[in-house]
Order: sequence, then C-alpha cells, then structure tokens
Amino acid sequence: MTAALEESRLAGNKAALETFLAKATGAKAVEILDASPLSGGAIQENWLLDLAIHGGAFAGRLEAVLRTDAPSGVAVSRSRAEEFALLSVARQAGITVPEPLWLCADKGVLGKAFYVMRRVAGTAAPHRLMKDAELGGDRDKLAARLGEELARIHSVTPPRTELGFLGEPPADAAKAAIALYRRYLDELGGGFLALEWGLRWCELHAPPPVPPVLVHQDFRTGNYMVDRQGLTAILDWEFADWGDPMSDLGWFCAACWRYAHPELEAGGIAPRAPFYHGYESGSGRRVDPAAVAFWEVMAHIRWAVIALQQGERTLSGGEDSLELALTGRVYPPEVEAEILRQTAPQRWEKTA
Amino acid sequence: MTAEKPRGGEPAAPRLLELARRELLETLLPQLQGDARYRARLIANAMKIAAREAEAGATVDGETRRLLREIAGRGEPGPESSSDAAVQALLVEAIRAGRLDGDTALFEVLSRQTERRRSLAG
Repeated sequence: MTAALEESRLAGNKAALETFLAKATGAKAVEILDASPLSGGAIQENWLLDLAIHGGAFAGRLEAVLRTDAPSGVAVSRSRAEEFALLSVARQAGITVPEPLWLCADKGVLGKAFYVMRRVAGTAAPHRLMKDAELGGDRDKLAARLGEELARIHSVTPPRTELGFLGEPPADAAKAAIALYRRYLDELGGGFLALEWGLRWCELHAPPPVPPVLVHQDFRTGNYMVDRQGLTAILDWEFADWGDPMSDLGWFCAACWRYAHPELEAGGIAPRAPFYHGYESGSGRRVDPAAVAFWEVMAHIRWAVIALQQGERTLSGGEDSLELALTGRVYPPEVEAEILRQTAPQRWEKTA
Repeated sequence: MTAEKPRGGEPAAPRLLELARRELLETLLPQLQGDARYRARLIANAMKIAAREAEAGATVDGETRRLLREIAGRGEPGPESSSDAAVQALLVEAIRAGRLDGDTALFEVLSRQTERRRSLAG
C-alpha cells in the first residue's frame, strides 16, 4: 500500500472494499495495490484503483476507477446506482463508455454507494485538448465520431425497464425545461432579468415536440476522453434523461463549451459540418439548424442556472467552497452576454 | 458609488486586496505545485473580483436602476417608492407575460447591466 493510499479516505475501508471486490469478482482474494484520488468533480469523487485479483474470472491485475459521492455531494444529479444502470445501457447500445463492472449499494462498505468501472486511457481536460492539436487524432474525424456516438445514445428510446428511474418522458421537452428553469430562478430569489428575457425568447421560438430519446445532457468537450488516436470514452452520465435529441447537439455546440476556440463551433474542436454529418449518418435523422440554435440558447440558460445554483450552495447552502462561490460569480455574466447576443430584439420575429 | 475616500496613510479594501493578491501570485504561487497552484489561482481571482467590487460599488449602478424603474413603471402610476426587489419582480412578471417581447429599451438596459457585471467579475 502506498503512502497515498495509507493517508487516503479509502484507507479505513480497505479491508471491507477488498472483501466486497473479492465477492463481486468471484475471486479467492483481491488486493488493492494502490488508490489515488482523481481531481475534479464537485459532486462525485473518483479513485484510481490498482487491483491484484487472485482467482475467478478477473484473475490478474486490473486497473479500475471507483466512483462515489463527494463529501459535499448534493442530490441534484442521478445516484451512483442510476449512473451504473445508465452506463450499462450505454454499453449495450454500443456507445464508447468505460466498462461498468460492479455496483455496491451497500453503504456498509464505504459509508456510501459506489461502483467500479474499468479504467480507460486518455484525458478529458479541455485545456489540454485546446493546447495540443495532436490530441484526439484528426479533429474532423473526432467530431464526426462524437456525432456517431451521440446518434447511438439517441437510439435508446423509452420505455426501458432498467431506466425506470428516469420517469415518464416529458410530452414537450422544451416547454418542460423552460418551466423548470423559471422555477429554479424563483427558488434562487428571482430578478434574473437577462435569463428571464432569454427564457421568454425560448418560449416563443421553441421547436415542436419530437418523440423522446435518451439524452446525455452533459455531452460536451471536457466530458469525453481522448488519446493520441481518438475517442476513448464518453463520460459523466449523471444528468441523462429522456428528452429532445437536438438538445444534446445544442449543448455540445454552445459557445460556453468551446473554450479557447470559439471559432470551432463544434465543441471548440472542429466546425459543425463533420459533427452534424457524423450524427446524421449515424442516426438517419436530419439535424434541424433552427432547433439546434434554439437549444443553444437553452444551453446557456441551463449553464447559467447551474452556475447560480452552485454559487447558492455557498450562501443559503452554507458550504464553504471558494470554487463554487466563484462559479456562481464568474460564469453567469459571461453566459448572459451570450444569451443576449443570441436573442437581440431583431431576432424576436414570432415564429411560434 | 465609490466608497468614501479613506484618510491618508490608511489603505482601504481595494489597495489591501491588490497587495495581498500580488503577494500571493508573486511570492507564494511560485513555491506551489499541482492542486495547490490551482487553489492559489482561485484565491487570487476571488481577490481580484472583491477588489473591483469594493472600488466600483454595487453590481447594479444607479443609472441602470433608474432605467429599470422607468420600464417597470410604464403605463402605471410610477413605482418610485417600491424597492428594487419589487421593481425586479414587476419586470419578471411583465417579461413572462409577454409584455416586453423584443423590447429595445429593456434589451439595452440588460446589456448594460450584464456588461457591468462582466467587467466586475471578468
């Protein structure tokens, strides 16, 4: 056991975790050789685990990732058990995700639920993707591949027994989201006039409802992993739900997720064309540019609301996190400026 | 809006924060690594925003406040006496009800307010 593991929060639960893993893998014994925390994720806590598995179907060395709730976790996203179910459905649908291995809902092992997945090589860090043009391989190909992956996500349609926790799909995803964000703004104390302006524009310009599909809802640069060759995994399934497929395209292309390359409108990595092309060839669905434009405005509103909710956690929520406080303070004005740019008075011709 | 000028010899909040931030970035940061460097940058950023706010006053300036009041009071006996929160609530209601759809005057005030908040936090 390394010094890092010795001092880590997992150390006290090492024996219990090893026992759980041995049972889950059908091994005689499992040794945790190393465990180190992965940084990032205000809601989830991730650990890199190096395992030595003695006996059973997984005998040998295994590099894994353990995912559980962060100490300050809030109940805004899916539980780890639900995320595990989503990952399993995604894998069956042929989506490139880390292989989900074992779920432990028993809180007796770590004090909270967790699951283990096979480790995937690569990085998801946006700043590295922005800086290093070689990363992820040919960028147009990467964008096309991401379009194909998204098409596969949208091939999952309700009802699905394993995804029963998602509830009934909304009859009109756009209208439901507008009502939800208004409620969130009211809960935050109201008075967010630029966001209200954007929401009213959205109400007038909402596309007609389409049959619901599984939407990832956080499909963007920063949430997929790449190595030198290309895509290695689609991550962060904690916001997945039934919804309008075009909402994922709008989120991916939104200006707030282009980082250092605003001119590359598909996630800061490529023009839209290869991304749309990959999506269309994978899904057989036409990309409706007007619907994507609508969902891009919605994407900015959603991000502003999430950032404000994170900031609020340091106010009424009583959490002492400078990172969350800055999220609430720094991003909303930037995002509101973008919303206003996209909903200027000349863009209010009523189409609804 | 600017705070009262402090007496000579007594540096006020903006100057204190500026110097503290410089100390952090120039003296401490070079000695830090990994996550600690990231944390130090967060702290420096928070100090920058706090200093700007201490210098400039509230995030909503007087002129914006006056213009919002004017828009909220259109066609009604002026809400001069109502609080800022009441004015905002009136505006939220009017926006949601479609009474300010594409309104150029409101759009200009919102753009102005957003720019101000951006310049404070950016």
